[in-house]
Amino acid sequence: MIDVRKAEAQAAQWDISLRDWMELHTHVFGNVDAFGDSDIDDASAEEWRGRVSDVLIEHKLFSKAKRYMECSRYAHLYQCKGDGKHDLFSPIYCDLRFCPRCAPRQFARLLRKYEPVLKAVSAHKKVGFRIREITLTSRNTGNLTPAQIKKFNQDIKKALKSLMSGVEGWGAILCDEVGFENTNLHAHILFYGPYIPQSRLAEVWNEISGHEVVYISEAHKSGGKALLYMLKYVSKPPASDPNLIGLLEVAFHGTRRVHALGTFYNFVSEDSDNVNSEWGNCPHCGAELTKLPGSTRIQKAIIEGRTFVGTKSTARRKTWAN
Amino acid sequence: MTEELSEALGDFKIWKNPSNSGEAVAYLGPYRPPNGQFCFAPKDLQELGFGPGDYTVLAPEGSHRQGLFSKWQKVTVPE
Repeated sequence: MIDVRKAEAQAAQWDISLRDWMELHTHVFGNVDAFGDSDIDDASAEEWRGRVSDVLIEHKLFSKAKRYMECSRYAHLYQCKGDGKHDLFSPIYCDLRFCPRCAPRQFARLLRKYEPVLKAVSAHKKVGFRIREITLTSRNTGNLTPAQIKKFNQDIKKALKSLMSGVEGWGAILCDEVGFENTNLHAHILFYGPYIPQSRLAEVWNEISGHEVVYISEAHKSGGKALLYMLKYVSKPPASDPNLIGLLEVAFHGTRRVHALGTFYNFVSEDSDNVNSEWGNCPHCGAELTKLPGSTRIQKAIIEGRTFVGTKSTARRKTWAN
Repeated sequence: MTEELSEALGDFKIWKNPSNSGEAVAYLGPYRPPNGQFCFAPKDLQELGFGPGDYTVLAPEGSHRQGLFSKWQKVTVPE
């Protein structure tokens, strides 16, 4: 399956439309698996998604199951209000965390949201403050529940606040992670603040959470690159087993995976794409768009010559996406 | 194709097709067919300095919309 963002960037670089990019690849490679259902090879991917959806259904997450199953297969139809009345389509994504099609977009969005604060502190470092990489782990119980993840996140916040009691200007971004193909819950944290001895971090973490293993080191990369490295875990699902992916989706239901703490909480960039789609106007003429009733298969929309616009269903990302 | 029409329609775009599945398609740039032609022949690509291989050519938007040229064209430059 293609990476739509990469394709968009390449299309822009070549000064062609995304549709022409897809046509080019169809001409060159014989087919283009643009949205995951364009050829027979994709049957296995759909089977895999079906098995994830089965797990979601077992846990009564019916709406999520439907969205996961139908992700990137259908499109909403739009027409611009300009004289050209350009026909457009907007793919319907599931926007779930562990969807291989949606995770790269979430990664890009989170990077844009959190990158400015790290660049800002890198440019105006406080004396004695550094960007440090912390990993806090938990014992692997072989199972993950929403309550367990919520407590884990609360414990992290408590631990950092306890360690930074009386310290001004510290901040952190944390990202929950599980090991590949397992339920080993841990958190990668980009921490900006004074030196913390590993022994002290371990002691506080153990007091608050009951868990033991911690790592801390000065970030080897600049703030932006360290963030890129940390968020890479968000960009792809942590398992190939559909049953485990389904269980992770259930475990993280209603729980955020990426959090900002301390001064970072107030200075993260506006996540405007959550509120207003960046695709508010016609890419041909800039006119406003009108949503047409119904939806259609994405392949049909492409064949009809409609132009791609990114998702306009943004509200649910705020609550479900990261 | 007159020079004026060529100017009005804009450039063709040319990509080099990968010779094996591990490669990516490579954009070579915007070009115009020589001598008022409305498509590229293999010798035209040779004259531009392109080596043997398969190429994909995209006609300027206005031209294929008006049905003047085929939107996509495949050209093979022989060994």
